[in-house]
Amino acid sequence: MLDTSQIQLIESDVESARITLYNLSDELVDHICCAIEDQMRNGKSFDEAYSLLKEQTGIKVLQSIQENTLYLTDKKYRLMKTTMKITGNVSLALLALGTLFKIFHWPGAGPLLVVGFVLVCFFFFPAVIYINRREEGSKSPMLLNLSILIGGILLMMGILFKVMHWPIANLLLQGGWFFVLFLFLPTLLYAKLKDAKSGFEKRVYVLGVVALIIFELATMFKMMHWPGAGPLMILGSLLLVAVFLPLYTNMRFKNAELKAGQFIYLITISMYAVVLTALLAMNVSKDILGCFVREQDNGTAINHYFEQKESHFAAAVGTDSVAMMNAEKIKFVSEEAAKVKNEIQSLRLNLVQEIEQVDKQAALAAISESIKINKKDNYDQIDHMLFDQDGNGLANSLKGKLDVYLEQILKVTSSNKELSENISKILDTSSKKNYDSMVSWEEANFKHNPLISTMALLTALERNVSMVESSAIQYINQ
Amino acid sequence: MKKSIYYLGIACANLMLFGSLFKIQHWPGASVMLVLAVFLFCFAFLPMALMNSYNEGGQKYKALHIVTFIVFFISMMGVIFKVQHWPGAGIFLPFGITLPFILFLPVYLYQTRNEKNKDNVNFSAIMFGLTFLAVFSVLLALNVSKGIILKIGTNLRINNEAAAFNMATIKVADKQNPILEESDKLCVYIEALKDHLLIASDNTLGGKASLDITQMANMENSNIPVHILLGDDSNNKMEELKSKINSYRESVLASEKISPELSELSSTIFDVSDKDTEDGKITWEQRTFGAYQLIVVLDALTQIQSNVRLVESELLAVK
Repeated sequence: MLDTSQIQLIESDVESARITLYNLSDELVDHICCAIEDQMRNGKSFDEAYSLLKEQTGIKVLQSIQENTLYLTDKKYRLMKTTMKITGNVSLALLALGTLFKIFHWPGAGPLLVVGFVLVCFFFFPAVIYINRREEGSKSPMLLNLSILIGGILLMMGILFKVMHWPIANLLLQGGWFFVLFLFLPTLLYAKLKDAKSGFEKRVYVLGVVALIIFELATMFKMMHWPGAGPLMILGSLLLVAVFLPLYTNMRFKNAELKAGQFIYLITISMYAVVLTALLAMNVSKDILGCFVREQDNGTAINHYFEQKESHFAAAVGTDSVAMMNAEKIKFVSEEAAKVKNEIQSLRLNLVQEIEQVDKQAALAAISESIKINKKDNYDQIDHMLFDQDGNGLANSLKGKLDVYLEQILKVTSSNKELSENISKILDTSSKKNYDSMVSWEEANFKHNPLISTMALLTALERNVSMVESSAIQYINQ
Repeated sequence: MKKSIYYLGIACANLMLFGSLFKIQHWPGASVMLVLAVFLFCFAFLPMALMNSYNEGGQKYKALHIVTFIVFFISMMGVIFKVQHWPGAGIFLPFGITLPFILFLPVYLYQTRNEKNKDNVNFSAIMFGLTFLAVFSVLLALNVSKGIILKIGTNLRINNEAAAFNMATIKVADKQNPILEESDKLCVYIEALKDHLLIASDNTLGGKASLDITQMANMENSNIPVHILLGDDSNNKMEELKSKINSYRESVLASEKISPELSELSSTIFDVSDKDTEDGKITWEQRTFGAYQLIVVLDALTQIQSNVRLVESELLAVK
């Protein structure tokens, strides 16, 4: 018969195999005891019998017994695992497609993202946490699972609300960060410290969690537009990738615990995290494009004024004796200006038509009410249209037209030095020095320029052309 | 796993990190590091580590190893093409964003469907990691590149130039006109407001306002403009500005020589009334300055100055 200390040894061994199902561990201990007693009856000592049994079964087998038991006894668990796999895959794919549709301004991005986020938040994410808890067993504290569940759902919902421009997005995000930063991460640290085998391991975990906290704070600051996000982001990612990652993987590498598969995963995920963070840090909210809508509308109103003024002026020329005298010159200036303005107008129309994929009528409507433009932030196609391989392209030909206009106007105003200088200054299209290299006018103004700001720029150029025209005519009429 | 693979992986992640940090700070050498990181990852680390994993008992998962290589190769290449503005980024990007979820994940789930042993690749970790990736990439759709700030700087410069041009066209003989004084007063008031914003946003200026668009960190600050213009300490600056613009518009409209089209223009561009939108009534100051970055606010103020100078010059041009 076995004594208490022997049974305790078996119990602790079973426990160390992470057998966490309460009934199962009792039954396994019972089963092992019986097997050992069987062997002892055949004349073996306890130690001999137990080590023989351990050789035959081992920890892995015990664990797989647990998993099989879980699987067989728990229908809910099986259902959860299937749910998780299906909803997980579907919802993450929906999110990726939604992002893609949103970036490329294809219709349907909104519904894709909403369905994706709802599936992630209310089916997939709870299922992952449930499975994780079942497999980890009672070893992981309840608070850990609960805080990441609530925090994660709040954060994801916050992001969805933010993307869809729904109210209370910030409230959801702040709530989410509260749960993650103040409940989940400290509990995670506590659980990891309890598991840690050495003082060094403890310090590595503390470092990792602190780095995560800084990193999360940085994301929060960035999204709430609070100052200080940049330095926090730099500090957090440095700690995480340059300090924690090598220490942690080295520790596991030395213990020969690190498998190639896990390492690939860790490196890939870190690289993505770094890139995504950097991209976010280098970006500003799309709301900033409102600035160009304002500029564009203001410019349109001014250009409309100049158009009307010109047509009134043309009608009045016949009655004005001074204007009659200079009719020839005035006509020349107006015609030269009209050439450039037509070029600018057709270029702007062309860009809007091409990028928005609409007909002329709709493009004209979009130009006069620029808030309605969909792909305000498209710059790839603009670059493609304005610059061709050898740097000629439409931007270059616009520059040529402006230069010709300046030349012609200066012929008329040459007798007034001050005015001529003034006009040369505002129609200047020369290359400018930027740091060490010369940057051409068209590169500086049109390269990597999104649709809405290109429109505003063209409209401002048109305004300047009109201003020059009107001051030249005024000069002639003196 | 071989030591060389281990070092290679750590090197890739750190090159990527420092490349990104240099890029954010606009320091030289960022591109070299980023390109090196991605090329090392795609052409050395990923194939070597996957071969190693395959030979160390991964034979069961042949398809998974191949798919992992293809997916993350394309995805990382998409990233570097996009970050470096190389031609063809548009082709890589759609695949880069979606492939981890529509190719890698299904193959992974299928190949490990009967896997009970969690030792090899941790299931939960992969699921959490991919969720993080998907959710975070959604955020990218909310943003535009910071280069846009330079474009607003271009706007601002052109507005300044236009204002200077119009000021220069005004004849000495005209300087009796009362509208001149009105225009000057409004422009000087706005200029002082701009200086105030600049000084408050940058403590390195030492009380002297200078506009430096390359100081991105200041230019994208949105707290100080909002605080100064719309906050509790704003001392009703916006009411003051609005009443000044209103009275300027009234005196322009009251000019005897004004043409109908110029009065129409003045009513449009100096309109500071509230507007009804889908989200209810929005005031002019909210529309123009609300929650915007410093550069946007400066541009909006410069636009008003430029408009004032244009109307002034047009008004004085009428004989």
